[in-house]
Amino acid sequence: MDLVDNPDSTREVGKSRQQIEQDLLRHVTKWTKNDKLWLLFLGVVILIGVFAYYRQLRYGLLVTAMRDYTSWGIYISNFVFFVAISLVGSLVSSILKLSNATWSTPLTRISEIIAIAAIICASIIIIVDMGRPDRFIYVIIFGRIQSPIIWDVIIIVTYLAISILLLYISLIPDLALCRDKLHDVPRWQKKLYEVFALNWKGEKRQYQIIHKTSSILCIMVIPVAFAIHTVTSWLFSTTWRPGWDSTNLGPYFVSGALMAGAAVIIIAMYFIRNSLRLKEYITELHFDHMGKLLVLLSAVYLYFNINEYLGPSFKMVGVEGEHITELFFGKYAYMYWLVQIFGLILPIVALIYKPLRAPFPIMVISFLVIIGAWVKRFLIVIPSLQHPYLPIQDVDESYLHYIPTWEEWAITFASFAGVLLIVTLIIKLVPVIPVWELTDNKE
Amino acid sequence: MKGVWKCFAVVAGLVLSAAIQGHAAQQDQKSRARLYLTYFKYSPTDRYLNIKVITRKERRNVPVEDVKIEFYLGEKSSAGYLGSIMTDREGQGSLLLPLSFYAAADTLLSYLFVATLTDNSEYLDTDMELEIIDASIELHGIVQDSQRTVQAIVRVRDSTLALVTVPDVPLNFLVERPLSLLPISDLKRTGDKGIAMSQFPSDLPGDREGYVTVVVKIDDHDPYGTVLQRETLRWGIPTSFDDKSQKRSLWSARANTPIPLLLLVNGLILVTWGIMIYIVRELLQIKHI
Amino acid sequence: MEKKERRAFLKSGLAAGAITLATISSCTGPNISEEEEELVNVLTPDGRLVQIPKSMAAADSYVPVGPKEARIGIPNKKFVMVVDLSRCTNERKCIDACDHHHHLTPDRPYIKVLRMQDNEDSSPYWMPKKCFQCDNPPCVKVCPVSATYKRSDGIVLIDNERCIGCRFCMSACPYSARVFNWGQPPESMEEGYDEIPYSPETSVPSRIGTVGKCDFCPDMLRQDKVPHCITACPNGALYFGDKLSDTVTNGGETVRLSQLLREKAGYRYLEELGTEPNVYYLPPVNRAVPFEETLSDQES
Ligand code: SF4
Repeated sequence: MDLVDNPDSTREVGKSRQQIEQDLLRHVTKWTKNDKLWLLFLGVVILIGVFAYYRQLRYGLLVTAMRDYTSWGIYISNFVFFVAISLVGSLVSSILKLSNATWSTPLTRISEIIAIAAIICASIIIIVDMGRPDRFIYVIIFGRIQSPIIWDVIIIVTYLAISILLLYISLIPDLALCRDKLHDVPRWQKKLYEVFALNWKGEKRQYQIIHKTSSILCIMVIPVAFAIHTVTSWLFSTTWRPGWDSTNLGPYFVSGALMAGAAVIIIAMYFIRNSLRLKEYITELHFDHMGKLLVLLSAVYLYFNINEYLGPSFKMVGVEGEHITELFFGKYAYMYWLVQIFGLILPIVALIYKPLRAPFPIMVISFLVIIGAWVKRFLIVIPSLQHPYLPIQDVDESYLHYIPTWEEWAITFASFAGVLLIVTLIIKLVPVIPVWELTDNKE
Repeated sequence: MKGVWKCFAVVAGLVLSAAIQGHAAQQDQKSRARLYLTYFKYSPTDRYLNIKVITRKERRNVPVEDVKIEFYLGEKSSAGYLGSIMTDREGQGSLLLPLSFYAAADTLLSYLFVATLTDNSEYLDTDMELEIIDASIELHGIVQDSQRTVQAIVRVRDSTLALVTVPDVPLNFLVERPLSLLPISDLKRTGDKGIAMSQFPSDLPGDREGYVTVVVKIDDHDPYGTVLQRETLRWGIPTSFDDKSQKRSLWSARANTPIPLLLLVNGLILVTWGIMIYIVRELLQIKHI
Repeated sequence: MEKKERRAFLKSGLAAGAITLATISSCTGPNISEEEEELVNVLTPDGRLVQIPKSMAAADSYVPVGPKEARIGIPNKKFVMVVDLSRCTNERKCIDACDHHHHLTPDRPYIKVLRMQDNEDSSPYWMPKKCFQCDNPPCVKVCPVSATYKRSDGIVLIDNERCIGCRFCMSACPYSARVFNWGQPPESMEEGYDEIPYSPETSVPSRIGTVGKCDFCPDMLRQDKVPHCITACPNGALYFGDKLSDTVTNGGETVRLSQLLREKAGYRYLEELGTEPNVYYLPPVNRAVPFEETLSDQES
């Protein structure tokens, strides 16, 4: 694989240091009309979500389609999805970095920003799912360490902290750059740069500290990132539900998350490259590399997918068999096969061809992967709950199926908008591509 | 004055609700209620009269709630007045016989109890009489050749008020359990000498020390009523209570978290957050260079 | 008339009498105080909601214990239930009694009577299902805040003042024993319902956004009485008792637990999951009444 070190990767940025700085700081200062429209759009989506949540607070979870059997719905599947997305941070900034793939340098910050945004929204969505959000503090006061939920809370907080540190460390020199170079910014923003740049002067010892701390973090983030998704999978695999009661669930979740993460990064690259006019920094080469990476990760995920379904579908035991039948031939079959084909097989097959690794086609394929990944999580959470050991009888019609209500969709879309909003705001505050790493590479 | 009004409201409410309940059953004429009176001798000094009041409504027996029942000994007069109760939701009520009863009891060959329902707005006046002869049971636990036997002797007073044994009285042999009485044999009858016996099972759990309370009971008998006699014997198998909820397990309370889990989770937290704190401290160094 | 019954008798009779007396005497008696006494809502043992002066509440009617005391089990007891499937004819009286005493609406029953058929060729049967009060309870293991807990007497209870509504316990329970208050509990429309002091032992009042389930009626057990469903069953299909004293009763007859399970081949549902339920089933063989399809009254 030529994912590893490619000495040519930065050569394409054949520009002077000054030029680079100018290019990369440009998007920080200017608020274009499009920016504002975009923010307005996100704001509206979020407000609708907030209104839906207000209704939920007022009338209870009754406004959702969740009922006694399907007691977890798209809030939880969306939560799992965001946790998956958050793995992208460690994928790019740590795994690729440690494997000396220097071409990935311009992508590290984007991925860390996305990771932080996703993890924040995952935490918000899990609070939205609670029947009594007013008692959230009980999790800390009365927390029992035997419960996987508590493990999840601990690991999410830890991962968020590490991600923020990881992002921040690589930001310090760039914050100093902003402090020194950006003059027509509001006072608070200037102050912000000043405080967080930590008196950065570009001294050698300062660089040493940055290198040392970030390499410690790079190593540490990998087990934590794996843990966050594995622990999330344990929320399911510690129960007896068909489809969840599996020893394979941890690696299955992690591999799926890495794949979704790669797809997210590709989409982000595409839009940032186009809207911020950074074509020279995020090049076709990046798309090509990411495409290959996506093929690899999809193949790994496919492998775990086969593992996950083969055993149960061979044995067809009781409710497990019912569950598999439902997925393969029943009411969820169309979703299941669309996910398998467009979200899994297609990227592997298509991205083997170099022309399809060009920015636009790969972006489209990544979109399919992402949608597939989201629906996949729906398929992991919901159908499993509908096949309990004891038959479902004497219940209201509404207990038999699960079709999310508008409130649930509104909140879900708002959470997506939330991720995008956080990403946008951070990008408007700091250079999205690590300037110092590029310029220092040149020296 | 507010208090008085409130009380008035409460009483009015009670009357009203009673009235509404009875409304469907009758328009202008009162309906007929039936009383069932039973006598219960829990121990010589602890005796009760139980009452159950029912009425027929739509061809079914239904309990009569919240009616006042008065009890008398001998005749309906203030001299014989024993007390009164209000029936509960099941139409039942229970009266602990007062001291005045015991004062008269020893001089009587038999007791005539009367329960009355009078002056009720919905139900016709009615009463029920119950004649009871006082029976007493003597209870012994006998161990012979490692065989444990419960022996009971039933006695009543003859015309001279002297105690004599009675044959052919049906007796239940039971043991006390937390929620009910468990029979240890079939129904027995007293023999010529007023004696009945039952074997005691060898594998019955007792309390922590092995104590069990044996109960011999004459059940709803005419004319003895219900009579019980109990005796605590150390005949059961001692049971040890194993309080699993106080052990360390995955399902126990926070205070009983399994130690390995506690160490593992806290260790991981300490290590990761320790490193992070170290990193933050390092970063703050940057400021001073 | 047995001891416990008699006591209960006496108690409710006394309480009812005392309440009336108290109200009357405080109206007419010489010691009328201008100060009005605070009235409180209490749940009588038979499930009625009555308003009585506060001082009476402690004195005469049974007051269910609060969330703190409810965590401690009834000492030296281990409660079990036995369901004789051969006797159940889907009368659903247990459900009615349970709903009544826990103030439940039909959408959140703690008890279900399921129509079961183990395979195509065997006969169907009715299976009353409550919470199994497992000794290795999956729901308790996963609860993040100890809102659901297991006591020394084997009962698994829920403290709905602690529950955060994460519903992890519902996913974890293999028997679908738990119900959730998705909205405001309908019975909270009942006057005074919300002011009843909460007790995990009665599971009343239910609260929005929290879980509920069959609780084995510990409030009744504390008064030495069996749970409501047991006495409600007209067929005597439900037995309840204490495992340590090896006795169960169905309200009428009282038998040795070990003997019953031995003679009738008692089993526990899904034993292979290792949850160690405290509810036993007796197989639906030698039925007195053959199986009959009864329409569930849920439709109404
Ligand atoms: S829903 Fe309530 S009782 Fe169930 S696990 Fe969550 S906090 Fe515990």
